[in-house]
Amino acid sequence: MEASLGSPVPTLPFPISRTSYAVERYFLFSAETITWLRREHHILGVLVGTLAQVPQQNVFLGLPLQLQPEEARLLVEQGLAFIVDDFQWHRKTYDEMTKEEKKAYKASLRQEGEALARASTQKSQKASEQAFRRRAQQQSQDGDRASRTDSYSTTEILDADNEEAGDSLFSPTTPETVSPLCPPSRTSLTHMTSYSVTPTSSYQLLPTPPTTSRLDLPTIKHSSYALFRHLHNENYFLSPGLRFGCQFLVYPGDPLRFHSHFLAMSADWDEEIDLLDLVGGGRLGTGVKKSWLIGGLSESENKDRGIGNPGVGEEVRTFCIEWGGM
Amino acid sequence: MTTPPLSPSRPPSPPPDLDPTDETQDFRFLSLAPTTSTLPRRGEKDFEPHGTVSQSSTLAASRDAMHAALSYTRSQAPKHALVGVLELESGITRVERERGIHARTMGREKGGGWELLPEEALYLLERGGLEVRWRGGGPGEEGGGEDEGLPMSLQAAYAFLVGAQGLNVERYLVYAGLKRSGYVVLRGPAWYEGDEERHYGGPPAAIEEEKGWKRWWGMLFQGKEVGQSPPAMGPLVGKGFYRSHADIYRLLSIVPCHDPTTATKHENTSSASSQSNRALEDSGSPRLRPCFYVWKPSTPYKKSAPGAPDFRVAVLDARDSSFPTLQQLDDLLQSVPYNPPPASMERQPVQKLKHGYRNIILAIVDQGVVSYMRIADAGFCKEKLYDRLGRGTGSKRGGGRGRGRGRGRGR
Repeated sequence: MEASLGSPVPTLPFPISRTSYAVERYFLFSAETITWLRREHHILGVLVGTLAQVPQQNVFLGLPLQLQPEEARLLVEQGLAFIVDDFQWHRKTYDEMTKEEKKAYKASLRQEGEALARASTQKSQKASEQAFRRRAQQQSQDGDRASRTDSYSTTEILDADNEEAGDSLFSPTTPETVSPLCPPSRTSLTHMTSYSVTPTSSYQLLPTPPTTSRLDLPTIKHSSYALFRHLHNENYFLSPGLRFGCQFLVYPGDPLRFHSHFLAMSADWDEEIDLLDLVGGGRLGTGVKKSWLIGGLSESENKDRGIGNPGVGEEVRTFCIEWGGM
Repeated sequence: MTTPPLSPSRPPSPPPDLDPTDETQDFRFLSLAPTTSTLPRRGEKDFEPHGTVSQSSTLAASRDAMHAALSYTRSQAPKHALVGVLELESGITRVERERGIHARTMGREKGGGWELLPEEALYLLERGGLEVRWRGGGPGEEGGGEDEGLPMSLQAAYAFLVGAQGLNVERYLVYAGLKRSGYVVLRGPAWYEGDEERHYGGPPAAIEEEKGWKRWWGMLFQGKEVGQSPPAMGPLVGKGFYRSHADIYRLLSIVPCHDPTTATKHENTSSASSQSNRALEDSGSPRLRPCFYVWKPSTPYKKSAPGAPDFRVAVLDARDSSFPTLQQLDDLLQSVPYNPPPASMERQPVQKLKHGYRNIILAIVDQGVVSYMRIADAGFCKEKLYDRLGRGTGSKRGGGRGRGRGRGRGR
């Protein structure tokens, strides 16, 4: 249905980056993988990085994507991903690189930088061409009387353009002698200095880590993972729920398009639940037109299984709490 | 399939109290926000999927827009390129020449260069303003200069910089979020756990002395008996001559209550502070300290003399720690300077209570989502409603009470 999306399937299993300073955190750095996961596997994660094209705001964020430990564990268990200790792996790879590999690494970055520089020059050329065209049109419309002041201001535009592009494309002579559609000269492109490029993911440059280097599964509270897994299996989208005072926000579809329906909290079967939490959660949920959901492994399942080994057939029970407007 | 609506119509403007970061935003609106001055409006969302082509194509367009935004490559034009080299052992990134406006508020100069802490380097790299190079110890490295080292990817920068010099993911996310909002952010005492942190001190001694004088003034003209304990036997309000209800209320207030202006006294001495430290350790909860000192963008900031910060932010992880205990909070609040409500709030008791006498901002991070909350040591015992009730009713002492009010010794 959504075949129009140009995101290919990543090579499976794909690596999940783990940083392990005191506590483990899981990250993804590939836009392709993220889009694919979102579309095919309902895994959202949280974008936490600065969007470099619009850096001074907090509404839209960019790569990397932080995965909840539940998400990371689910992906690993389904055989879609494996976990790599990013620090160890980078350190090892960088240390073991040969001179030739380093050269290739730099050359590939340089190539990308040159392509960007070319694109940027072309863009500014286009902009100046458009400025010329506008000028030319205006001049043909205006009478001779205004032409002197016009040509003066055109030269100004030219100067500004040249400063932007860094390279002189049109010699700043009188605009009447320059054809607005003059093709870009080749010399300006070959003299171009390369942009310095910072790639997002390391896998564009370095070999993907071997799948044999996989690490242990993320350790998560059993009840929390069971509830996450259950709701995810029911095709819900889940994201961290701190803003609404719960564990997970539960969406019926992609949060890009839909509002969440449930505020989910997990609990063990015998766990005592503070009545104030029930009241607070129920009121807050109802107040934002959502319903407060509490769930966990049912008693029999809980006793049969060893903790930390959630199986396929486990039964999760969920309850919804809403504030009744009697 | 119908063509997706490529240019979404502007939705109606949102109510002002909504935080646009609360919900996932539709990335199609990103293109409508080329400048930072106008934030994108919220898109209209649907309640649930109903399987129509229109809905799925709108969703596909949103996902495409998101994918396009995420696929952006960070690059710097050669003229303005900033290049730093990471020293792995120290976690410091050294830039040869400092350039750009960020040098005004970030890093520090050293030996003609510019040194960046891990979070500063990572933030600058992430926003596309810095290239960080890895200078491996391996053989075959061509000599210094511009070509030295391998440029790091964003992924490599996260791998190397998170974990360096006490930087963890939560701290970085809070730092970057504040920087994106335009604040000036410096490290606070939480980074240097062993050290005796810089203490900004309690209320200045001059104020204390003034209080002593006021106490006398209050006793003389308002009939207040400060610190008088209720009688051991008999009625609380004994026989006598009472000029106002306030005097009676005062005698009735027997529940002891925390006075934020005096709590610092025992904390200021080093023995007491180590005592509270021991008490905290006994209870098994770690000591909390402000992690960041934050200045508003509008505050004039000088790197050489930063002055007192506008906010102090402590960072907590929502998964691995619970909300601070009263003991932890008190210890944290005692470590920040005394900051009473300004005189302009004198007639606004609610504002005064909200402002409090010491305050701290808790940044709580849950898997990449940050929530901020402000904790203030509110002086409820200093805002007596019965004192306010008597004011302005044309009583004999009207004028005198106007001046005497809020001098803080009434109880």
